[in-house]
Amino acid sequence: MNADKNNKNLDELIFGAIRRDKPQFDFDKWKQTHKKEIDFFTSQTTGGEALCSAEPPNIWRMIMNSKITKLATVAVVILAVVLGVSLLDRSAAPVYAIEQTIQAMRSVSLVRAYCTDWDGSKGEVWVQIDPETGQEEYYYADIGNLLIVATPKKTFYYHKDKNLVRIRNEYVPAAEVRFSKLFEDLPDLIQRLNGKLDYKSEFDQDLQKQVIRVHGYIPAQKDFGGKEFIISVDPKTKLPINTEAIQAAPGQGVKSVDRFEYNVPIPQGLFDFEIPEGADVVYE
Amino acid sequence: MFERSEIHLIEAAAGGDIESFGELCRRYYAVMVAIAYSILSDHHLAEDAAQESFARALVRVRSLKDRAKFAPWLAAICRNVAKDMIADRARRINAEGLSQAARNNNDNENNHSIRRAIEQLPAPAKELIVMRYYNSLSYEQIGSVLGISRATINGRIARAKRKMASYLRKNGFPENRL
Repeated sequence: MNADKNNKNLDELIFGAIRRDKPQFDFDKWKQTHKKEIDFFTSQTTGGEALCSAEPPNIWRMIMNSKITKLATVAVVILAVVLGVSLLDRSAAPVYAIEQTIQAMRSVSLVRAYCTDWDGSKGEVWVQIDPETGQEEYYYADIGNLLIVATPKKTFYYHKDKNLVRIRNEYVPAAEVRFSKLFEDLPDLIQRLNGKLDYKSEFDQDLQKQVIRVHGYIPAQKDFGGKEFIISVDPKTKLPINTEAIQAAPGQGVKSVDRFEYNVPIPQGLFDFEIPEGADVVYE
Repeated sequence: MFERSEIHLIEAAAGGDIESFGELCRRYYAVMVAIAYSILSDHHLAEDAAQESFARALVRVRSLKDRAKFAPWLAAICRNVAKDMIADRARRINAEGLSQAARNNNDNENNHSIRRAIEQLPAPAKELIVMRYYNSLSYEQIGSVLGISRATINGRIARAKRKMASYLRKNGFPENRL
């Protein structure tokens, strides 16, 4: 009896403290303030049937499945770890440093990554980003026998050795996170993977300057093996300078990103893909 | 007069029907606001977070593989948006924020104490209490988002309330009010 009474009292107290009328959602008003997302949604609709079978973007799956895409994702993973450090260890990362990192990342509209794969082959990845939303708009990745060009409505995979083009009627992102808003998008991902991170300030002999060295480890997960890597970050810009994988399962990312460039001019026509003569074409 | 099934709406939205997506938003708005409020402790910010969640969901709805898990998926987006908002401001809205809000609203001391008792709960329990009491969501609505049964919801709410009562007693809340 008392328990019931207590329960009722507490119910009333909680209601009294936090109860609000149910908020009403005005979809028409919302549409007016989210035109960009609606345009994106609409453009997907007009892109083709393949939309319904679109796979969820997953940086790890893509790393595992595609040699080229993994290149594009490497930069993301790297940046994620850098930002993850700040988030996972707030006690060691002063607020001003976090703010600086956010600002630095938000100023990025283009990332160019020079990569080296485990077999020694070289390649590069370009990702164009909308600085306002942080969403990827285009990306280009070329290494070894595979070339990928992703545009807002189509993604082309060109297998050079087979003279085969696979086309998907959608933008297949380099990663499920936004380059310039990694601070917002990635902490959960890093934490979910139970990764470990530590970092220290060191003098880099090659670069002849002080850098922040981020040492990361992600244990083996259900779908992919463990990975260990080191990322060097410019303490001034808070942007990654290079990265190196110490240990990774086969197909899980490139050996290193030797250099990053930010906001450099894009070569004209970089994201224009033309089907090579005589190539077989497969629509997916 | 017939209410379209949720799975029908999700399929239609994934196929490009913006109005179906809008209907889903209407159905889940209150739930998302409650989830965001449990993190942000601010009514206006919570509504902003819910609306931003819909924007993120719209862009990604086609990639949702398991359509039956739309609500938990949307809730996960909403939690992330709310956390992003905290990160954006580089500050955490905590119990102090709550007490400030209480003062701003000419709140009484009891309400202040109750809010603090809610604030000290672990995040999942806090979210559940807020969902249930903030805008009186039904067990069905809560269950659809959290993917748990009515009995489980009951059990978790009861445990959360016991923790709250214990906290309130320890902090000198009048026994006769509990």
